[in-house]
Amino acid sequence: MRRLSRAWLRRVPRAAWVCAAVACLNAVCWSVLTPPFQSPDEPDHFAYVKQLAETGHRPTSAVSSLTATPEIEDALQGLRYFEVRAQPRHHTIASQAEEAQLQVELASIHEHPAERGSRAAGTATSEPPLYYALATVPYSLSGSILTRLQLIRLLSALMAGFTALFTYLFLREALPGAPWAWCTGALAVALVPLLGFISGSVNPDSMLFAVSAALFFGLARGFRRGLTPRLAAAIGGVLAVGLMTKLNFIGLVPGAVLGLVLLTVRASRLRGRSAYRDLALACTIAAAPVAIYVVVNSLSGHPAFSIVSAGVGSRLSLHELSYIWQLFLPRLPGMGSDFPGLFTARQLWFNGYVGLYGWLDTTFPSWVYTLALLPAAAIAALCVHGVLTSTGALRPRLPEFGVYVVMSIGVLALVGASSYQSFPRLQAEFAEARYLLPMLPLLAAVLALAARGAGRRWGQTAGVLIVVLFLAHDIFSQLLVVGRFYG
Amino acid sequence: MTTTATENVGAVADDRAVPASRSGRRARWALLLGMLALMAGIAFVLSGSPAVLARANGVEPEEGLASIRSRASVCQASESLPRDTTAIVAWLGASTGPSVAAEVLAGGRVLARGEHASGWSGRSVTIPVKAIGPVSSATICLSFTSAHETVYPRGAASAPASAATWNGRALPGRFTVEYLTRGGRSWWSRASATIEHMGLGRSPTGTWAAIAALILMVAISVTASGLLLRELR
Repeated sequence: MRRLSRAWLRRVPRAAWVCAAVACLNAVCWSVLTPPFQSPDEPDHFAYVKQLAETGHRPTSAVSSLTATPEIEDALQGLRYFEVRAQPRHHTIASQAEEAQLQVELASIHEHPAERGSRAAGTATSEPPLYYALATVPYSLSGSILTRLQLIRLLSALMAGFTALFTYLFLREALPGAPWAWCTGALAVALVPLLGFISGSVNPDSMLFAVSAALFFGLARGFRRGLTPRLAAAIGGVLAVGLMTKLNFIGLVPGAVLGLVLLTVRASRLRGRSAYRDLALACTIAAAPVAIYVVVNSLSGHPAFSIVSAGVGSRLSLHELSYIWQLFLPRLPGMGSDFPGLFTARQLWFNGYVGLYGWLDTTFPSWVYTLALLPAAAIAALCVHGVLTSTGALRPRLPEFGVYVVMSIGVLALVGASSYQSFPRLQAEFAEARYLLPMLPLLAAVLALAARGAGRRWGQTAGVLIVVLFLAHDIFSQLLVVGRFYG
Repeated sequence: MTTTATENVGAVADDRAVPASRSGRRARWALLLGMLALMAGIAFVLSGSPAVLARANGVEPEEGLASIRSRASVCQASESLPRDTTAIVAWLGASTGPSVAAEVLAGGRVLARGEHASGWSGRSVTIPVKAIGPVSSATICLSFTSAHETVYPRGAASAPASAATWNGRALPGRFTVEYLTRGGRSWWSRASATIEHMGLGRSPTGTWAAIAALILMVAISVTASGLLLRELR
């Protein structure tokens, strides 16, 4: 097994490792720039790690960790967290006196250790434990809460590297004819500021992005080279890891299962019934940890499928479908308006992708979002041109693209259905662009196709300009965050 | 790596067949010019001044004064705008806020107006206006052109006579407003203070944070450029 994985690692091109290093370093940079706990839900995710590391048990209370965990609360007070969060005019602590006060708060935590663990982990409570279990390793390397936080952030940054690595490998399988375009797509993804920001904080999304990219890679490899028992086991393993990482991964599962079925049917034409054994193997591996999770939850008195239990068996209403549609796309005739005066695709998703950092409180001036439409439109036009000029070659691969579309719809539907639960009290509770980042490999494919769409003479030039554009976006986003928190 | 018969199924045309030298040269020039443009852009941004808080109206954002979920206009009199006000920060809470139009009125005239598009979130919204001020006794009016989610003006209780109004009716208090102006010092001149500031509130403390971030970004830029040069030959 070890020999196999070593051989596989040796076959990964150097360019893929470089893209991974760029993504990892970028996330490390974001982890340094973002003040402690000033990213979405970071205190809750940290509380989950604390509970798991100190007690060996998962948190049980969905009460916010901000006030329920004395150690975290003391640190947050010292950091002026409550004054800074969601208040863009307020900066982090800026004087030696405030720093001294923080050190007093931190010292008091050590002198009077609070209760072990944190039963309350707010929104993180319902999440599966794999990312948090990994995070207990860096957590245990230090005794100071701020050092622990930074060490876990570095673990997340490592995940960003895996995201870029698998994105490169996905492109190599999905667009085999254009090696330079793999580099364009994967480097651009490595420099996506939102990936760096989230992967530079304590957040299981960082691992979710990496596992999702691995899943896209596995399926693309299957469609290009055929399903083998080893690949089926690998895809099953990735599904298992994804399901134990974050609930949002469930959105990708229907598409992945469809992909496995299509690959099995195709393989059965060559190998007969043995191909179905591969499908069974993949499904068994994927389902095993979920089954354990359900048993553990049931025995410990929790809902069997955690927070998902609420949705199990519930039916989609027409209004919910209409809401989910409008959350991403313009309203169709006959639909009631759930977002009057709001162009959701642009104002929630595009603007959220272009620049929304911190606790969703750090934004560019509004003209930047308008300006960003220009390169986005150019990339979209080039991508369409790239697809149209390759229609003949792409047509036989429609089933594969269908699988990616179903995976994407699954992610969107999950975000929409989750937001609908709090509608109309909140218009779009989960309308955060980070929830779409499991589809980063598809963004990379769009960028690679856009570069190819510029034609043979200008394709590489377009590829270079796309990477420079993403680098610029990344750097200006970092300057924005520096100005907001330390300016 | 073993190549199977299915390997090239659906592969789009192989670009390696294209004569590389000329397109590679173009790509290298694009990289050089792109990086130069990026550096110029960074220098330009850093030579600008950040907006700074010129004045707040002294009302603490202690509580939500109302729950507004319709087209509405909220006005507050007796506001004092400092010289060269370039943006108004209104303390409004929402998760997906509606578009907000702000007007500054004095003596029955509209002195300035600005607007912020819908889709914002948080506890405050910053509305840019053309530079005005000083104005000693102005009325600030905020209009929600299409409220699709509840908006909470945040402020503190006050006497009814000085309270803000919602469509002409008195609210239980005044809402918090801050006025921003263009700062006098560029980012360049604030660099050392910013670097020092970045070193606080973390472990270990010190200027390492800013220096590490700078080194990392340079390393990322150089590595990405190097990879592009190698791959786009």
